[in-house]
Amino acid sequence: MSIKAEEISALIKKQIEGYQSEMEVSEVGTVIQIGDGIARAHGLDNVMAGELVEFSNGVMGMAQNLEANNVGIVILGPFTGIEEGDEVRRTGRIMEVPVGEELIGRVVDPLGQPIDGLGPIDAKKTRPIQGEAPGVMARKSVFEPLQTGIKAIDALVPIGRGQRELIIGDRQIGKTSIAIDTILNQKDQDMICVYVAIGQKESTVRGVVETFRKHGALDYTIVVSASASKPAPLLYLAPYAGVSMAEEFMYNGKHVLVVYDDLSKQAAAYRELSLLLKRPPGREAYPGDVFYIHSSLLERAAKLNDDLGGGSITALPFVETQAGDISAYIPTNVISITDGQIFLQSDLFFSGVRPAINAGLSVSRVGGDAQIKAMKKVAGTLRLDLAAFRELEAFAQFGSDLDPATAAKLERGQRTVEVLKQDLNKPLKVEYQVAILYALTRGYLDDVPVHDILRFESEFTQWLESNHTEIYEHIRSTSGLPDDALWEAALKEFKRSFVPSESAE
Amino acid sequence: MTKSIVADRYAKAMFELAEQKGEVESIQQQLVEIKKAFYGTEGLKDLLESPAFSKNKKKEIVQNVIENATVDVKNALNLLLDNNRMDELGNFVDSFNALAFEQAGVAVATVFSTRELTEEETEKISQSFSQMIGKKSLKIDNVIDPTLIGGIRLQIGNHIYDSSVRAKLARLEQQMLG
Repeated sequence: MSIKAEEISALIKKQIEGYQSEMEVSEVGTVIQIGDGIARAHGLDNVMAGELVEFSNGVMGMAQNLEANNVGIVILGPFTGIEEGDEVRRTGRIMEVPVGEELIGRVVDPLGQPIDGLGPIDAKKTRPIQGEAPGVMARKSVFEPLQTGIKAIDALVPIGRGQRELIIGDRQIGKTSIAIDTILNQKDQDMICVYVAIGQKESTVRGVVETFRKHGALDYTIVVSASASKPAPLLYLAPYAGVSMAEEFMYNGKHVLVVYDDLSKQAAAYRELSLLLKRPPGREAYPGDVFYIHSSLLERAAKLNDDLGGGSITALPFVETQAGDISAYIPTNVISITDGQIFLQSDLFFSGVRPAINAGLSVSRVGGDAQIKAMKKVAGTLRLDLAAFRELEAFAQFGSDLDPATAAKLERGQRTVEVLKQDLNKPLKVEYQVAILYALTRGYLDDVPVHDILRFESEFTQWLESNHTEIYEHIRSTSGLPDDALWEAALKEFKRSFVPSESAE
Repeated sequence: MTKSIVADRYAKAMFELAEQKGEVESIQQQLVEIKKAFYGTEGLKDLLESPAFSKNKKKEIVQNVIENATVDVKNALNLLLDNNRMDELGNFVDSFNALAFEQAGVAVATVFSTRELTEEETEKISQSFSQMIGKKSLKIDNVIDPTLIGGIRLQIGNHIYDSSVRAKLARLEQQMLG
């Protein structure tokens, strides 16, 4: 920011003119204890719960525990400069973040301050971070699909706009990749994305932002980051800041996707500050209201009714499990709040099934309502097929002689698993997904060698684009499934030109 | 906001007693003196809070220090000693003070200024501010603080009214730096 000399003079002039009339009135307290990101202050009689307070060195804090003789304050910044006896000043404001179009394409901290080095954000509006969720009558049932571009999700656990779908799994098996791919696929879908990184490594966040930039996803994405080195209160607040920014768009009739990566770290941060504030610990040392912090957050995801503009917030919360244990405290809590979960399994991941989605344990409670008709038709039986295959697979390992029906089921199953594999950062359009799933479920892939399936898929979907545009055109315009005859002609024609590669084995 | 619930209870009891006997003002004065003496004398407070001395020994010391006090005040201190609440003495006196001022409609104000205030100035400040906060008058404590540069800064309870040059400069700095 540059200051012109005239501006300074004008400012000083104004100051001098108003010199006598001005008096600063403030309500203060005194710090009586400080440490670990928590301060206790005496005084501040009329402070509100959740109000922002300012320490004498300019660091902000948030009033949390209002007790008879002191106030517990979480410090939102470096706390080493604050000493016992310092003044704490009320600001009279509840914590809020800047919201609006100006934030799109930026990386900000949970207070809405830019951390991408691209200059100040000139936001005109703010929103309190603790808002109320839309009520019963303000909502509408979820019906529009949110295309993630990931075959295994769009076909098996479809997500609708306004839904809350949990993504759960161990560390390092591709949870964040699902979020990134989903955000990348929202290009040209009239969606705004908010990616909230909670307790992530700065380098990881940097990598994510670069991926967004490279694929042009930053044009419709806000990244809110509270990295691992930030004080616990900021990690705790990050998701609320993210959802407040999203709400502004939702109430303006837009569709928003919010990704919370991840809520187990937020719960741990909240546990830290609750214990430091001396709130009684409960199960796994989490405080009593740890369920509430997640339910109040996820309830703010909604599909609004038409009177309110019909906007939506779709939430994809992440929860990390330890060794696949989904019966731990935080996973069970969040599973019960959300409208379904996508369960990632490490043994699938290491056997090469990526994304490592366990179709048996993953559900979407909104389900088929959020699928286009064509997808509903081709994917209808996929789930049962896959379940039957997993059962047979275990069974068939013991015997070599199988009757033809069982063998055919196994063959089909292997191809299904193969089709549901997908490379990183390559989200697939829904019509492409329908094409390959049609070929699979109608048996056109049964004579294609398993190791050729992925090549078949990419070549076939590309080939259709140039040779049978009417198929894609039909799906795009009517979202229904084209005639079987059309498909048959196209598939037969393509298969004549498709050359299976030499067997890899 | 109270510093200690225990001290509040003692203070309330003491205050009611003083009110009955109509000695609020005298007791208040004595208590303030006692606090000054105990907290101003090096080691005396530590000695009274130390478990190494017997209660009787401590009582003896206290009685010597406050020879001129009224019976009620002496008794109150003995009671504090008996109940092992000697560490609450400071808060006890503060709470008592607060109660007494509350009843008299007086608020305590600390005025920071660059030089000592004249009688007239004190009177004026007392008048205008006591009206503002709805009290009868102010008990003004004048503190000299040359770092203010000019103007005054007034603290009443948890409220600070700042019209010092230092605060104005700080605000100007904040505005210019955005």
